[in-house]
Amino acid sequence: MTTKPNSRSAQPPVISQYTGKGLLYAFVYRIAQRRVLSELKRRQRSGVSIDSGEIGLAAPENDALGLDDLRESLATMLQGLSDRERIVLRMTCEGYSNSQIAAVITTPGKPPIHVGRISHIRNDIVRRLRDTLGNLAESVPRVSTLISDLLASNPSASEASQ
Amino acid sequence: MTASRPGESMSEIEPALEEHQEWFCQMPWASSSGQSTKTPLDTIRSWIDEYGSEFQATSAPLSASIPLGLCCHRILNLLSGPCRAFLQGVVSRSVTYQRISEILQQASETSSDDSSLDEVRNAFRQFGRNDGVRHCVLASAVEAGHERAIEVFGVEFDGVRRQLASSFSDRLGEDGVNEIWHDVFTDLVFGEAATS
Repeated sequence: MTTKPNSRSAQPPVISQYTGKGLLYAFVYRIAQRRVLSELKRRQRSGVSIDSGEIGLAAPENDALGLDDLRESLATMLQGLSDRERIVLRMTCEGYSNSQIAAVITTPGKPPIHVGRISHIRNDIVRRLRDTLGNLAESVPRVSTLISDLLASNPSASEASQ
Repeated sequence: MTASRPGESMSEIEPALEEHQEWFCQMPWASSSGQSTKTPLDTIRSWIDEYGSEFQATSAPLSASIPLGLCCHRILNLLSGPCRAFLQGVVSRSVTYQRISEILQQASETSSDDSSLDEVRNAFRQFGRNDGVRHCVLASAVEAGHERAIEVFGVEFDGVRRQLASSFSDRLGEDGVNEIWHDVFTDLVFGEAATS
């Protein structure tokens, strides 16, 4: 591997964004994985696809309060969600209302999905998340807060993949 | 306050310590000395120099030629997880966290806590966490452009490329994955939009 002085770059090395929260390997892997997914999207243009990698849970970084082990469990749980459930989870974390989520996931030309159905899906996801969190759930004020934290834990990695 | 060495700026370290002071000064290693910042920071600096011999070709201490504040910040972030969990009584499933909690509990009970900080570092090293302290130092040395550190980083993290290849080569091809990894590696080590 050849080496080049960092001064040649217009931007600082992306590794400067590594904060020590979690494994360096996971930090590197997530950046690389996002780049791969970005390339796949660019090539395939296959529409909406939300997987655990896209929401930053394919590899752990932030292990405050010992959450590092749980991330793997959470990622596994998320992989078990249907596409519809993943969309509901993601939009919930982004602050959308049930009616807004219903409008998004309703298939054009088909009857609208009732907001009560969205509420049911959300509650079911929350229950499964609590099951995954186990005892640690007591230390987390709200599960949605945890998920939001997970989503927000790697903005720099997201930027790095641009 | 910890004495600085030639070339070191303590003003780099102090913000990192200030951010973590809430938990750092409650740990056994801080309470024993009665000088809440001196011994622990000297220990962290010695860790940097210990690993520095691997990541720096010259005999000069690495702590004098890397962004010391950022390195300390990384290490303190790394320590903060298990240490905060210990202080808050959170029981983690992580074996590493459990071991560190045991070390800290023992130190707080026996007051023989001078070495507890080193033992915490060794617990990270021992339990399959890829030696988090070492990787904090490695990242800092790479960030500083040390060529030996970049070589080590390239070798150790080639596993990411292999992992990506095993997952995506069927869709992107081996060359495609390698090309992406090369770009990622360049951005990580040299910065985005680096000239090739």
